[in-house]
Amino acid sequence: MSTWSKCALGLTVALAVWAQPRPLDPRSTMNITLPDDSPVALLAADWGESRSEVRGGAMVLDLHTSLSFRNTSQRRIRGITLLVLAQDVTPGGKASVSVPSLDVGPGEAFPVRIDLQLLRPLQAGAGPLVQVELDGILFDDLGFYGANKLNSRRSMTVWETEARRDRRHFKAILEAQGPEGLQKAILESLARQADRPQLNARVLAGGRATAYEPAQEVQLAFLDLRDAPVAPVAGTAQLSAHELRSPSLKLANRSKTPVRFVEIGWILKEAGGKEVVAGTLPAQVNLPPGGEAEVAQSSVLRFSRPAGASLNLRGVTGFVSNVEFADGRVWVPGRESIQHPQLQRALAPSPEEQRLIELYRKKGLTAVIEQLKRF
Amino acid sequence: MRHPDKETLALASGGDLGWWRRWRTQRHLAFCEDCRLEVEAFRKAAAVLREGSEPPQDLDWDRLAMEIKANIRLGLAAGEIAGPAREAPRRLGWRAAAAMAGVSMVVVSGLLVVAPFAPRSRAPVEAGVTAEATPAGIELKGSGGKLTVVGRAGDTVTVSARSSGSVAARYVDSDTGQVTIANVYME
Repeated sequence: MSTWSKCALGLTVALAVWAQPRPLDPRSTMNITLPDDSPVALLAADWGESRSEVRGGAMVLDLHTSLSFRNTSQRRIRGITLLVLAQDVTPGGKASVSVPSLDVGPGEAFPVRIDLQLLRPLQAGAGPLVQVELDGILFDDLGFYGANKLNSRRSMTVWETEARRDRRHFKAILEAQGPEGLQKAILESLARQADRPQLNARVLAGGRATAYEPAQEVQLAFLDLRDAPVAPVAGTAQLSAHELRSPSLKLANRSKTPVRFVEIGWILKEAGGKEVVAGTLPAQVNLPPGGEAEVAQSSVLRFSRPAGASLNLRGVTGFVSNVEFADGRVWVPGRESIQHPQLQRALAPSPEEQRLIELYRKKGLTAVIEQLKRF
Repeated sequence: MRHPDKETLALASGGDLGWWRRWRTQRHLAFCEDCRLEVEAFRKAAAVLREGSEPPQDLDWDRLAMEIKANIRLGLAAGEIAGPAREAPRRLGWRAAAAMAGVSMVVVSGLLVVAPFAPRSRAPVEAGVTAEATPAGIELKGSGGKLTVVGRAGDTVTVSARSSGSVAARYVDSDTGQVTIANVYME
C-alpha cells in the first residue's frame, strides 16, 4: 500500500471515530443559569443519555435530561418556561421547553424534562455547549417572574386562562350531571381528539416561498366569536394546493381596553370539504379601544398530510385564537365559542383538557374528580 | 478571516444557497461588516432590476410555458442531428482505473461518515431550512435531509406552527401525565 493510500485510509478511520456519538460531560458542556432572586432552585440535573455527534461541519447535541426544581417562593407555581440554547444565530440552535398546568406549592419539587436535538457549529469557541436559562414562571395569581425573552409570559397566561376555563366547564358538568355526566363529556372529548385531523405544518426560515406553486388570492372568511374583544373585518391571502402565503387582514378592537397582541388561527378547507385547524398568525398590534389596524405578514406556511397523500386546499377561515390587552390580561374563547361546530371538529384541546383526558385514561374518573376538586 | 466569494454572497442575498452553505454564510455575516454590506448591495441591485422587469399584467403564462417547452424540445432535437461526431471512448490502463477506484472509495467513505443528514427523496423542491411540525414531533429539513429536533415516541403529541417562524410540539407524558410544550425557533 502506498503512503498516499495509507494516509487516506487513516484519515477515513479518524473521521469515522470522530463522528461517532459521544456522551456529554455535563460539568463542562452544560450550563444552567438561574438568577439570584429566582423563585425556583435547581435540585438535580440528570443528563442521562445526552450525546454529541459530529455531522458535516456541525455538532448535533442530542439532549435527554430531567431537571428537578424546588419552588422557593411563597406562591403556587402554575407554569415554567426554560430557554435551551446551543447557538443563537441560525435555525436549529434555539428552543424552549414549557410546562403548563402545574400546581406546585411553596417548598415542593417538580421535574422538567428536556428532550431535544440542537445544532451548533464546531468552531463555536470555548464555553458550555448548551445554555439553559429560566425564561419565566407563572404563579397562581397570574403574576410573572422572568426575563421573558420568548414572550413566555403571554403564552403561559393563555394556557392558564384556558386551563381555568376548562376546569370550570368540567366542574359545572360534574355538579349538574354527576360523575356519569362528567364521564360522558370526557369520552366525547376523547372521541373528538381521535377524529381530529392533523396536517404537517412547515415554516420556512425567513418566511420565503421557494417551491413555487401557482396560488390565487382568496378573500379570508372569519368565524364571528361573539365574546371576542377583537374582530377581523376583512382580509386576503395567497392560497395554493399546499401553501398559505402573505396573509393580510384588518382587525377592529370591540373592547374598551387597548390591545397589543392578537393571534389568528387558521381553519383550512380541503377540496373534499374536510376542515382542519393548522397554523396561526401571531401579530403585535397597537389597537386602541374602538380602533382598527392592518396586519400583513410576508410569511409562508406549507402543509402536507402526515401519510404523504395529496392535499388540495380550497379555502381558509380565520378565528381569533387569543388576545393580549395592553395591561397584560389575556382573552381566550369561551367554551360556548369553541363549541362552534367548525371549531369543535378541528380545534386541538387545551393543554389542561389534554392533561385531564390523559389522567382519565391512566387513572380513571375518580382521579379526574379529585383533580377538579383541588382547584 | 476567510471571506465567502462573490458568487456565494450574491446567492445569499437572494436566499438561494443550500442549507449548509447558507448556515456557514450566515455565521460569517454575523461577524463580518464588509460582507454584510456586499450582500445588502446585491439585494438593492436585485430590487432595482425587479422594478424594471415587471411582466405585463395580461401575460398568458400557460402559452408562454408551452412555447418554452416547444423550444426546448426543438433545441434537443436539433442537437441530436447537428451534434459533433462522438469519439470512441479511450480505454484507461489498469493502474489509472485502480487509482480512481481507490480515490472514489475514500471520497465515498468520507461522505458517508460526515454527511450532515441522511439523504432522502427530493419531492419538495425547497432551498433553505424549514421546520416542520408533524404528529411525530418537529423536524428540521434542508438540502434533502432532516434532523428530528423534538420527538418522543409513545407520548400523545399535538403540533402547531406559527407564521412568525416557530413550531411547537405538545406532549403528555404517558407516565407522569405532565404536559410539556417544546418550541423550536427559526428566526
